[in-house]
Order: sequence, then C-alpha cells, then structure tokens
Amino acid sequence: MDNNKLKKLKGYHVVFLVQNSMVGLGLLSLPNQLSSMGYSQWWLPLMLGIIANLTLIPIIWLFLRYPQDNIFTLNEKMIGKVLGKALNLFLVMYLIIFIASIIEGYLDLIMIIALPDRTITTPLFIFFILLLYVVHGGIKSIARFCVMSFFLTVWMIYFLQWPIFEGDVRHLLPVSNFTLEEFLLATRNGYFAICGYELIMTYFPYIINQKKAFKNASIGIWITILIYTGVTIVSVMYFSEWQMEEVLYPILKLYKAVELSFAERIDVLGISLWVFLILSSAAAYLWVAKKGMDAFRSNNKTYHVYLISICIFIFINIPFSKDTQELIYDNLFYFKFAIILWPNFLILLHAVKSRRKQASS
Amino acid sequence: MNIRIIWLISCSLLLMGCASELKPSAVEDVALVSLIGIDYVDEEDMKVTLAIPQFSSSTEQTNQIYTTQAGMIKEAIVDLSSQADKEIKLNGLRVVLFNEEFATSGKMWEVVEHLYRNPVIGGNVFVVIVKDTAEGLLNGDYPDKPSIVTYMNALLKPKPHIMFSPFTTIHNFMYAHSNPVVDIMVPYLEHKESIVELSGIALFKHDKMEEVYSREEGQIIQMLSGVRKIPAATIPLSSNGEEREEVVIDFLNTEVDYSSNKDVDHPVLDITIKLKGSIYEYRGEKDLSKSSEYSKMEEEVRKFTEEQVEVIIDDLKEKGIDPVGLTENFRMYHHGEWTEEMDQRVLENMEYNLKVEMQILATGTLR
Amino acid sequence: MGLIKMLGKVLEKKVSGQKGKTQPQKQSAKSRSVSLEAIKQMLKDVQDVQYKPIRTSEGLVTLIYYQSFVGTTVLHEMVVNPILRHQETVIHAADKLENDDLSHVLNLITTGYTVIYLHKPNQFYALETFSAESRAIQQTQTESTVIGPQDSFTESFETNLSLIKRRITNADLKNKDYIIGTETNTKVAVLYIEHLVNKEDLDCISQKINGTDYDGFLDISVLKQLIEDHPLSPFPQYNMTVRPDMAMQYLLDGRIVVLMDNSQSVIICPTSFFELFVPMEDYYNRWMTATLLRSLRFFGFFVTIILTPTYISALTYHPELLPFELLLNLQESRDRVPFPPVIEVLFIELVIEILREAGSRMPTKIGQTIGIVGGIVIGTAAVEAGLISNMLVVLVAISALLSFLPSNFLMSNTSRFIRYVFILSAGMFGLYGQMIALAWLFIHLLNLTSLGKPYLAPGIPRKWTDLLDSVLRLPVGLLRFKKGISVVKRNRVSPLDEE
Repeated sequence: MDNNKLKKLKGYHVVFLVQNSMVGLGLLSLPNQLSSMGYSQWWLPLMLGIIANLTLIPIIWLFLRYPQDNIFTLNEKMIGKVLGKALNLFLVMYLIIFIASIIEGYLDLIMIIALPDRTITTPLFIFFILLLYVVHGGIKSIARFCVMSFFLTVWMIYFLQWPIFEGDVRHLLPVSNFTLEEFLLATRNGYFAICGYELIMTYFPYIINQKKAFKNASIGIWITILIYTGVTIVSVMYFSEWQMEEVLYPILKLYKAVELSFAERIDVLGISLWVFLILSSAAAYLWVAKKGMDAFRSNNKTYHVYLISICIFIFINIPFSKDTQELIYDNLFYFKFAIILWPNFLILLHAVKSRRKQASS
Repeated sequence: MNIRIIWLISCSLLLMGCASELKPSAVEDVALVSLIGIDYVDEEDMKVTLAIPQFSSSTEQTNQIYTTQAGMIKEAIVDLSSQADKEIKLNGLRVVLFNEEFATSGKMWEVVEHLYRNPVIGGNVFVVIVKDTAEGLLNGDYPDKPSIVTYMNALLKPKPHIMFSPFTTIHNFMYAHSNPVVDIMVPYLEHKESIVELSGIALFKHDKMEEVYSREEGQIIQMLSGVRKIPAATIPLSSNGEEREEVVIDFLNTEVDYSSNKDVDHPVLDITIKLKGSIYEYRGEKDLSKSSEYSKMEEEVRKFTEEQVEVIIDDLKEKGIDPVGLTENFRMYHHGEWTEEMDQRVLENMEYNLKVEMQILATGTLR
Repeated sequence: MGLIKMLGKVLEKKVSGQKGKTQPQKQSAKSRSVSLEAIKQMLKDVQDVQYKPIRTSEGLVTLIYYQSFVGTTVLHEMVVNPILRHQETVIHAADKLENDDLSHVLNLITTGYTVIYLHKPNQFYALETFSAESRAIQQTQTESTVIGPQDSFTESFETNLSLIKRRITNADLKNKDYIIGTETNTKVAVLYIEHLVNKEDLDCISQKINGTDYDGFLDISVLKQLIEDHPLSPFPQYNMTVRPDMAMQYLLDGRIVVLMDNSQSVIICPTSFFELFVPMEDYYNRWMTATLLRSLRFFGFFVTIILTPTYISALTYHPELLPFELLLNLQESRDRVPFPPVIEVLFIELVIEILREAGSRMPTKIGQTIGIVGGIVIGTAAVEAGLISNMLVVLVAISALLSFLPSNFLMSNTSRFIRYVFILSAGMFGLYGQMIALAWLFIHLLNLTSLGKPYLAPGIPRKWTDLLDSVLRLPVGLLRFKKGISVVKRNRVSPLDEE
C-alpha cells in the first residue's frame, strides 16, 4: 500500500498533463512568433514536434532508471548535495519567474480586451486563489483539471472555419521560402510555445505505468502539435505576411472574423475561456516549483506552495521597466532549453557512475 | 492553522477591495459608436463624424451625430466626449465611411490601421467609400428608414443581389494593403437625396484610390476572385436596330480556376471560368424549347461574358491594378521575397488565356 | 479549500464532543439488574406506561407496555387471551430477557414491545406488539412520474423495507440494522445485495453510521449531511429518493441504500453528480425521448447558472458581444432602470426566490394564486415601473424554470445557490469572472467524492460503458453493465504534503 501511494497517474492523465502544460499563452501568439519564416511557417510546428519528441527520449530513458526520483532529487543524487541544492534553488527561481511571465502575460491581455480600465490586482488575486485550489489537490487533481480544461476549450477550434472560408489556400506554397537565419529565429521563438512537456521529469514517479509513459507523453505532444499546426495553417491562409509580423495575438484576430447571429466578438469569450488553459499549465508549473522547494528544504510541506505563490505575486507586482521585463522573458528561453537538455548531461553522469560501480565490483 | 487565518484575512481584504472597484457602467451609460465618417480637410486634418444609435423613444432623432476636426481618430473622440451625454466607446463599431477625396489622398490606410490595431474593435467592421462627403451621408434625412445606423448596417449585409460588392472589412483592407499581390477594393456608395446606393466598387493602387468600377464590372471582378454566388446579370445578345434581344441570367454557381506557367519572366496565366446559370427573363425571337437555339444562345452568352472579362483584365493590366490577386499564382511558385515591383512587373508582362464555360441549366418553371 | 477544511475539522470536533457527555448516563442503566420496581422507577413520570396485572392459573403476571404503541385489540388477541388460555405457549413464543440488562428492557418497552413479567420464576419476556397508526402508501408528490410504479415510501420503517424487499425477492438482499441517535434510538438499516456490492463501500458506510454521534435524527437528510464526505460543499453527495423503484435500480447496480425509521426518504450511496439529474421515468420512456430530456436537464443546469450572469457581464463589460439589434433593444429597456445590472439581477432573482418560498409554504390553491400574482403582476409591474428591464424578466423566468429540471430537489436548490456565485463574479469581472467561477465549479466537482468515489462520474472514473447511460440513454437492452462508480476502488486524493 505504501509503495503504491505514490502511483496515481494513469495513462490518459499523462497525455493531458503533457498536452495542457504545453498549451498556454504560447498558442495565442504562435503565428506571430514564427512570422520570420513568412508563409512557410505552417509546417514548422510539425518539426518542432519532432524535436520535442526527440528530446523526450533521453528524459524518459533516464527516469526509467530512477523510477522513484524526480529531477530535483536526482540532481542531488547525481551532482552532489550542495551543488544539487544550489541548482534546485536556481530552478525554483526560474520557475517562479516563468509562472509569473505566463500569468502576467495573460492578465495583461484580459485587461486590454475584456476588462479595460481596471487594475490588475484583484483579478490576479482571484486567479491565485483558484490556482492554489487546483494545486492543493496534488498532481492527480491537476491532471484531472487538465483533462477537463482540454475538453472545455478544444471546441473553440470550430470557430476557425470562418477564417478558413475567407483565407487563401495558395499561401501555403512555396513550402521552403526562407533563409537559414529566419528559420533559426522562428524555431527559437516557436519553441517557447512547445515547452512544457519537460515537466514530466517531476511527475514521472507518480505515473502508474512508467513503461508506457513515453507513448502517452508523445500522444500528448502530438495532440498539441496538431492543434498548433491547424492554427498556423489557418493563420497563413488568413493573414498577409505583414499582418503576421504585426499582429501580436493572431488567434484573437482569427476569432474576430467569426460571425454568429447570437453573439459577436467571439474573441472576448475566447480570451476569457483561455483562463482554463492558463490555469492548468500554471498549476502544473506551480506544483513542480513546490516539488523543487520540497527537495531544497528536504521536507514536504504544504506551505511551500503558498510561499512560492507569494513570491510569484510579488514578482508580478514589481514594476519592472519594459526593457528589463523583455530582457528577463527573452532569456528565459535559454534556461528552458538548458533544462530540456539537462537530462542528457545527467545520463552522461549516470553512465560514468555505473561504469565506476562496475569497475569497483 | 496560521496560514488559514491569513487566508481568511486576505480574502476579506480582497472583498473590501472589490467594493471600491465595482464601478458599474452599464450598457445604457455608454454611447457605442456605430458609424464613423471621415472627410478630407487638408493634409493634416480630417473631419470625423460619429453616428451613435439613439435608443430612447423620448427624443425625435433616432441617432446622435457628432462632428469635429482632428488629426487622429482618438483625438476626435476625446474632443467629442466633451459634447456627448455618455461615454463614447468604439466597441460596437460597424462601418467606417471615407469620402472619395480622402481615399485618393492616400491617407486612408493610416486610419484603418489605427482601427485595426485597437483591440476593442471587432474584425467585421466594414470600410466603404462615399462619393461626396461622409458627413453629408450621415446627416442625411432618410424618412422611410428607421435610422442611418440600421440602414447602413442592413445595406452592407451580404445579400444575393449585391454580391458584386466586395464588402471589405478592416481586416480585408489591411490584408490587401499589406499584401503585395492584392490591391484594395472597397464598396463605393452614393448618397442620393433620401437613399444611399451601392453604386460600384472603388479600386486602389497601393495607398490611393484610383478607379471606380460600375456594378457590372464589379461583378466580373468578384467572379474572378472566386466568389461562388454572384447576382443575376442582364446580357444583351444582339442590338441591331429596333429589335433588342436580351436575356437575364441568374448565376447559380461560378467557379474560377487558375494555372500559371510558374515563370516570373514570361508569365502566362490560364484562366478557366465555369458558369452555371438559369434563364430568368428572355426577350427575343429564339424559341428556347428547341435545343439547337438553346445551345446557340448558350454560346452567345458565353462569348459575351468572355469578352467582358477580357476587357476587364486588359483594363486592370493597363492600369497596373490587381484587386483579384492574379499574381498570387506566380508568387506561390517563387522562392525569395515577393516585392511590390516584381508584382507590378509580372502583372504588366502577363499573358493570359481565358476560357469560359457556360452551362444554362433551365429556363425556369415556365417554357 | 483550506478554509473549508478548517471548518470541517471544527464541525467534526463539535460532534465528537457531545459523545463524551452522553456516555455515562447510559452506563448507569445498563449495570442495574431488572426488577419490576426498577422498571417502575425508571419510567416514573411516564403516564403512558401501563402495568396490567393478570392472574392466570400459574400465578401472577404483569404486562408492561406503552398504551400509545399497543392497541387494545392487539394486546388482547396477542397477549392477554393466549396467556389466560395457555400461558406456556405464549412464553415459548416470546423472547426471554436477561435479568441484568435493564436498559435493554426499557428499550423494548419504548419501542412498542409488551414485556411480560412472570412473578413466580421472576422472569421477563418480551413480545412485539407494536401497532401504532401509520400512514398508508401513497403516491409521491415530489418525484411523481406519468409512467412507472406510483407507490412511494412512507414514514414506517417496516413498510419501506417491505416495499424494497418485495421487488427483489432474493436472499442476497441483506439489511444490516443500526441504532443511532443518543436520545432517540433511531433505527437505521443498510441495504445491499451481497454479491453485487463493493465491500469497501460497505465498510465505509457502516463505519460512518457508527461514527455518528448526534442526539436525534429528525429525518434521514440529517444523517445524510452528517455522513457526507464533504459537509461544507454546496452539492448533495448522496442521492435521496422516496421512490422504491429508484432504490431498487441502484441496489441492482451494487449501491447501498440506507433506510431510517420515521423518514420517508432513503439515501443511495455512492452516487455521482450526473445521477442526481436522472429520474426513474427516464428508464420507462423510449430511449430517444429519455436522451432528449436528459440532455435538457443536464445542460439546463449549466444554462441556469450562466444565463443571468451573462446578461450582467454583457451589459456591464462587454456590450460589443451582443448583436446589434439586441443591443438596441436592451439599451432601450435598460434606459429607465436606475441600478447597475448586478443589482437589477440580484433584485429580481431574490424576488423569484421569495415567490417560490412563499408559494411552497401555502396550501396548493393559494400557492397557485401567489405564483400567478408574482409571476405576471410583479414581473410586468416591475418592468413598467422601470425597476428591471423586460429582457431580464424573460431570462430570469427561463433560468428559474431550468433550475427545477434536476430530478433531485437538493440539486435544484444547489443550482440556485451556485447561480449567485456566478452572478457576483460576473458583476465583478465580467466574462473573466464567469470563467473563473466556472473553473472553480469544475475543480470543486473534480475534488468531490461520494463515499470515497469520484463525484464526477462518468468523467472520472473512466469506464466507457458508463457513456451508454449518461447524457445518452441508449436502449435498455444495452444497459447491462455496472456503473464505474460501483466498481472502482476508493479514490483518496492524498493531501499535498503527503506526496
């Protein structure tokens, strides 16, 4: 019984945890992020999906060898206690900034579109209460919320039919009209929207059927990629190249094209409904940050999650200048990519250690 | 336990915050601008006219009209707010009217872009061009219509018989403006005493309005753009002497197919138009129950349409305007950046082979 | 969340606090030995109790019974006459009582037994003679259906048990009895079919019933509130019904039915959110009709909590959301209303609530009049007086009607309560607030459990056959699978710090 207490995530939980922690704010601006590639961007999400799936392999491989560990405890195991703890603290700080960036980005958008002339504080506070409520139930509760929010939001794809009707399919050609530089820039910007699957490094020990984790996580990744590809294709059809560069949140413009007899301006509804996606991915990240805090303090306390959320709250309310903000959020990408590649380094250490063990025995 | 007490306190603090923040401004306290008219004054300024639907039955007027001169839209709204009884908001904008002079001055896209960037404005806001002044149109007296706002709104709803008009929204406008392949086309309105008429379409070259096409010409452009349902057309078959032979064809379905030779330097475009229609009205000598005469007429109609399309394409080529996006068929095979100059060059050098297929399905329920 | 848990703990403590107080009193009666004097002393001021001395051929016999429970005819037919004729046979038929358990004897007397005291061997016997009047089986007023069985439970425990047992004539239908209520000694029975029921559930419910410590149970709904998993949630977590066919339906699915003496309803546990929308008539209708009505009921719940809040957020924050013509209409009708939309909606919602409450307390005829007066007169008058807009009257009326669609009365009350949460959040943050409230609702529902089983079945636990009998109700021939909720293991969401 004790041994089984940890195991609580079923296959479909993993699918939707992966899927929902990927979809968040990133999707709203994806076609804009990829705009350096012009009309040829529409297949880029597919390629990003392949990259994501490839980087998933070492992650799963590593954790199958340490089925009881998450990335934080593994750090301590692999690179030593002091160094590991320092790294974990650093990771937690990074996560705090990252969650802050998601929430702030979303609420800024809400402020602009749905609730003009209001201050951010109260909606933010309400958001946090709800976020803590989700996280309070533990990873399984988060996973269930992810499943729920997927089905509550996925029907919004239906509204893309209006822009499809107005768009021009001929924009999809030519397929490869870009330079290497443009391609790399688009990949770098676009990968931000793909990130999120690496959280599996933390909830891996909770998965019941760890052997199938790779398959499930891949399904999650590809659901996301399919949605992303659909959205980018529609954007390419509907917009001109200039528009994709200039319009920060193309999805909202796509929703503005919808004409219904009983409601206009579906974009307001859409951005409000987006709270489900933001909540689920922020909850997953917050839970991970809490695990990091647990590992750092070497105990398991509920108040860590309050501590972290207060940090996030404060961070959001610090009035950074626009430049600093951009500097911080832009550089987050490199951390992100470092984290995704970090398991490769750990595998190296693992190989060295096991060889040493073999040699000694 | 302590944390829970903190929770309790913070929640109650939060609710106190709500009380002060709940500033209700309900729908009746805002003036939702439905129409904006913009007229040309000089290089710097424009005349902005706002039409706001007046719901209250207590006043005679069915809408409020405000006019001011300003350099920018926002400036005008701030200015007009001091006259209005309510808070002016652009959330419910439906139509933006520009006068012809403003459109030819080349500043139009700046205004549209400003509206396009505003997040509270929807995407389905129509852009139209008015022959004389937008202010005159908005201030006009329309005794048999409820108000100018509902009138304009109803007029610009796509209906079968007015599909010659492109119904350009601000998105379409910005799309065409920023896309080197396509040029802007906008419905053209004329204000005639107590009515407003959709009299044609205005074609732009880059930023400036260049040409106004008639309804019939607009219809052909719509047909080339791939609109599937276009309105019925009157086709004169022969006009020798007194005896006029005419037929009104209701187009049931039109299809247009392009294929290019993918060569930018010697561009050749094959255009195939497939038309399906039924005869609405016929005046003439032919006995349509005979299949030979029937097919003869089919051929005549086909020929007439083909000639008309050729005239339009030649005209567009000559003027260097491309509202249809014919050059898109070359761009899609071209690697590298597609610039405005290239587009112009391709359009000028382009040869085309036009093929029209006509199929008249029925003569209606009566013989 | 945290707050709710805290309150829950306080509640638990309060209940267990009473336990300590009442325990010693009981102990004293138990240790005393039984004698006629002792009984007389214990029942000193009970005027109801009768001591009837009868002299038979074998000696003096005293009958002790409650006059209100035991009818004269029954007494004479069952006890007096037989004793006078053949005392031995009566004694054989009666239960012999232990001489040292006074409280047991008292218990028997207070539940309608006649205690026979034979003076000669100084021995007590008891014979069940309970024959107090009880209500006849009638049609249900609250869960009536057009087709299907019309009988309903009454307040009599025995009748209720017989209504179920005559439907399932199977020795595997077990009932375990419990006596609860420190003062009232109320009888409770847990019914289940042995080979179908989930043993884990059974342990859980008996533990919960044994764990209750409460003075008196007015109705089974009190017990239900005490043994629910989340007493502070607005949602009812066990199903409650007065229809024997419903009890039977769920017994056959492996659920547990709890009966209580003196209460008309029975509770069914575990249950899911969805089942609270399903009346028995669904299974008697054709499947397409049933599916249509079911989806109406289910989606009606969400419409009723979202309709008027949407009015608020559209009018306060997002006027651009409305179609042009509707907007003009709304502006016109709102023009004379002096309050913001939130107040307007709260006002009219409360009026509706008052109407409903007033109507439900009145006799049927007056109640109808109040409904008409309230609905038509107040509605139109309020619009004409410029207190509310006419569009809102329509919306409120629709949402009030929709709130009565769930078959479970408690659920329809809940939907009305939830609506106020949505109204307030829409008033504060418009559509964003509504979505936040919706998210709260879903998280709450996801975290709820009914007897340890997830409440949001058939969403969780995932069992595909559940879908056949969910929003869809496929032909009955296909509904032969047990529900996921009756099968799965208990689902304990471990707190965050145990992970």
